[in-house]
Amino acid sequence: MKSPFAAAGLFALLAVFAVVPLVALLVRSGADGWLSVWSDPASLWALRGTLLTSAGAAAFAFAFGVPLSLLLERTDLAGSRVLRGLLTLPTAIPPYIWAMGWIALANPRAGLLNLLLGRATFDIYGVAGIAFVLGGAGLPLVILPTCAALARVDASLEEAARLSGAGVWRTLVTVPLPLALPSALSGTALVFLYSASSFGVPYLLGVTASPPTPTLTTRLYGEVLSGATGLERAGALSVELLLMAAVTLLLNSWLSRAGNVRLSSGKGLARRPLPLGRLRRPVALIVMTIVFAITLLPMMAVFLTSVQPTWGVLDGLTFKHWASVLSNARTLEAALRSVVISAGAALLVTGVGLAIALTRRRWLELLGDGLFAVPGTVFALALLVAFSRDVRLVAFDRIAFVLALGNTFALLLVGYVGKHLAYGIRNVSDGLAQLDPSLAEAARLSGAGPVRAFLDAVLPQLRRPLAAAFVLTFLTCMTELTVSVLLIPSGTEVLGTLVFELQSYADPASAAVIACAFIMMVMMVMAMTSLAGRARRERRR
Amino acid sequence: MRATAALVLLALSGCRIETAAPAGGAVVVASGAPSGDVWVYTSMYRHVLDALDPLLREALPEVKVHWFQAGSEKVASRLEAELAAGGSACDVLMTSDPFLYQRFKREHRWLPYVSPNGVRTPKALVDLDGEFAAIRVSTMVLVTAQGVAGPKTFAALSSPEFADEVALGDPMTSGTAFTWAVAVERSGGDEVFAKLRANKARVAGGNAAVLQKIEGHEARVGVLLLENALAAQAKGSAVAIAWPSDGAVIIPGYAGVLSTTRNAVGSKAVIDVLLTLKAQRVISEFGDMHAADPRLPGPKGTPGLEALLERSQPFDEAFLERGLTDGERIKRAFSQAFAQ
Repeated sequence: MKSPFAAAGLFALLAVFAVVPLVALLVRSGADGWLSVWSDPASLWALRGTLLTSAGAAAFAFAFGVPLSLLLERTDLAGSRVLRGLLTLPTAIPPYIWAMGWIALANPRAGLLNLLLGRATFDIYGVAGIAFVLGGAGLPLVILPTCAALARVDASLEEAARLSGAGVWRTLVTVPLPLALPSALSGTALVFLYSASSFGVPYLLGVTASPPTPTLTTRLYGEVLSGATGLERAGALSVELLLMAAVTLLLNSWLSRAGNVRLSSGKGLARRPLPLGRLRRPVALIVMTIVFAITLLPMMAVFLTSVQPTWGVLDGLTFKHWASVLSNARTLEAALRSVVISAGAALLVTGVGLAIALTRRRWLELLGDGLFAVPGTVFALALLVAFSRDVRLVAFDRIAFVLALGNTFALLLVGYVGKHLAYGIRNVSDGLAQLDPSLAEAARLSGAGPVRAFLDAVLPQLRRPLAAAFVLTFLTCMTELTVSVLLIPSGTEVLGTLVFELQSYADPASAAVIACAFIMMVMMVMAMTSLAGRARRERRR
Repeated sequence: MRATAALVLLALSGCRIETAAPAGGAVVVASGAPSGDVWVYTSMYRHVLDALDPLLREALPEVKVHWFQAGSEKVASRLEAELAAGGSACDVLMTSDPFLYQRFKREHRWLPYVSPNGVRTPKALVDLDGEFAAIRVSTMVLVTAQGVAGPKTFAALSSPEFADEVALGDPMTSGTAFTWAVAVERSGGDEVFAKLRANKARVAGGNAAVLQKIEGHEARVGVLLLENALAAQAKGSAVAIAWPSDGAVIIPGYAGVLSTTRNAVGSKAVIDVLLTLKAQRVISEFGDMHAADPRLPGPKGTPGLEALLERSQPFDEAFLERGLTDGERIKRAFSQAFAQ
C-alpha cells in the first residue's frame, strides 16, 4: 500500500467527493472577502466562543477519558464491561438531545438539579456548560481509541514494573499510560474538532446564555440563512474552522510522534489485569459516580423528557409519546433505512480509513481528518452545489461515466462518509503506528504474498481499532441531523430527519422517545454481543 | 513505474468533465392536461402533507407530487445551493419565509401565476404582480404560562413587570423570529432591542425552544407562532395565548412556481388544488394556522382571517422590502443589543 498509485487513487477519491466541492464553495467568496468576514468583531467574538468551548471540551474529555480508560482496560476494576458500554453510549445520542437533557437538569431557573440543590447552583448556559456537555458527549472519542491502544500493551511490561517494586498506581502511570498517550491525544484532538464543528449544543446552550455565547458554527448557520451572499460568508467562516483543524491535527501529530512506541509484536498477549486490591471497591464506586454523572444522569433526564406529558411537567407521567412514535410506520421505515445507510457509511469509513492509514502518508491522513472539522451544514451545501447536476466524465468524446448523485441516497452516504472519515483514519492510523512490523515480515519470509501477509498478520491485530471506527461511525450516523436534513432525497426520511422534525415541530418528548429507543436497542446489541463473547470463551475452555 | 505514470497521464488527457442538468427528470410539460412529476419544496408539516396527498391524487390523478419537507430555513439553504449549482428539481416552493419570495422576485426567479381559486385571498397576502400568493398564514402572538397575568402588547415585554421573564426567538437563526423583529423594529426603532435586553429578556433559539422555556418554567412570557401554541394546548400543555393589542405579526406562507420549472402546467394545477376550499380546510385544521381563504374560520376557534388581519400589524410589499433592505442592519442591532 506504500505505492504512490494507491495514494494518488485515494487522493482522487477525496478530491472528487470532498476537496473539490469544498474548494468550489470557498472560492465563491474570494480571499479578500475572507479577511473582512474574519475581522468583523462579531466573528472574532464567535471565534473566541469556539476556542473556549472546544478547548474546554477537549480538556474535559482528556482529563476523564484517560484515567477511565486505564482503569477499565488495565485493572481488575469491578464491572468494567458494563461501564465501558455505558461510556460508549453518548455517541448514540444526538448531541442536541443530550443538551436538552442537561437543560432539563441544570437550567438555572427550573432545572431539576437546581430544584433539588437550591436555585441556580448550576447554570448550563454559557461557555462552561457547552464545554461540559460537548466533553461528555465526546468522551467515547477518547475512551475507545485509548482502550484499543491499551489492550495491546503487553502485561509483561507491567509485571516487570511491579517486580521492580512499583505500586499499582505508579505502574499504571509509568507503563501503559505513556504507551497509550498518542492514541489518547489523537482522540482528544477529535473531541476538539467535534466540538468546534458541532452546532446543536452551542446553539441550545449558547444563544440563551447572557450575554449569548456565539460560536463560529452558530454564526455560520445564521449567515447561511441570511441568503444572498450568506453562503459566501459562511464559507469564509468555515475556512477558519478548517485552519483550526489543520493546526490541531499538526500539533497532535507532532505531540504524538514524540511518544510513538511500537506496542505489540504480534505475539500472543497475556492479559493480566493489575489488581487494585483493597481499593477495588472504592475506586469502582468513584468511577461509577463519574459515569453516573456524565452519562446516566442526562440519559435519565432524556428518558424523563420522553414520558412527561409536556415539557417540564412531572405529574401524570405517560407513555403516550412512546405509543404514538413507535406505532408510527414512518418511524420504523426511517429507522430501517438509517440502519442500512449508517452501516454502509461505517463500512466505508472503516475501509477507506484503513486504506488511507495504510499508505502512511501524513498529508493524506490530514486531509481526511480535516473534513471532520467542516461543519455539517457547510459540507452538505458543498456537496449540493457540486452534485446537484450530473457530472459526466467524457473520455475521447464518448461518455464514459456519469455521476448522477443529485437527490439520491448515494449523496447522503458521501456526506456521512466524508464527515466521519476521521474516525476511520485516526483509529486505524494510531493502531498501525503501534504494530511491530516483525510479524508481517515473518509472514513474508514464510512465503506469504503481501496481501496474504496483510490479511493474516496485520489485519487481525487491527481488530479493535477497526471495530472502534465502525461503532463510532455507525452510532453517530444513525442519529445524524445536519447532513441528513440537507441531503436526504425528496420524499424519504431517515431517523435524523425524523428526529429533527419531531424536535422542531411536534415536541421534544417524541424526539426523546426515538433517542431512548435507539439507546435501548444499542444496549441490547451490546449485551447480546457480550453474552455471545462470553459463551464463545467458555466453549473454548 | 514512470512508463505507467505516462500511460495514465495519456489516458487522462483524452478525458474531460462536463456537468449537466440531471437526466431522467420529468419531461417538459408546457400545455395540455396536468400530468408528470411535480417537486414541491415546503415547510408545511409532514402530517399536513399526509392529509393533502389524497386530495391531490383525487384531483390530479396524472400528477405525481414529490415533497421535500424541512424547516423553511433548511429548504431555502438546499434550494439556494441547488440553484447555485445551476439547477434545482424544485418546481413549487411553499415555505413561510416571505422575504425570500420578495428577493426571488427581484432576481426574476418566479413564473408569475394567479390561481383562479385564489381570487378571494385578501390583497395583503398576495404579490400584486402575481408572482406568488399565500396559501396559508402563520401568526406570531404572545404566549404566557397559564394563570400568569401576561402582557397585553409586544411593547409591554420591556416593562419591569416582566423583567427576567421573557423568552424570544433568535432572529439570526429563526425566520419567524426575524419577521417579528422586523415588525417591532418598524414601530419602535432599534431601542426596542436594547429595552428588551435591559429587561433581561432571553433569546431561546427557534419557536420550539421558546415554547420549551415557557413550559419548563424558565420564562413566563414568550413570543411564539400561534400554530405552535395551539398544538401545545391540544397536547395538554399549560400555556395561554394572548393577542397583542399593538398588533400580532402575520407571516404569509406563500406558494410560487419557479421559472425554471419543467412542469409549469402541473405546478400551477397543484397550487390550484391547494387553494380549493377542501385543501384550505385541511391546511388550517391539521396545521393549526389560518387558511388563505377568508371563508374559513381560524384554527381551533380563533378569529377568522379577516379578523386576524384587522388585529395584525399591516403587511405589504413595503414591509417585505424593508426586511430585505434593512434585514442585516436589524439583525446586527439585535445581536449587538443582546451582546451587552
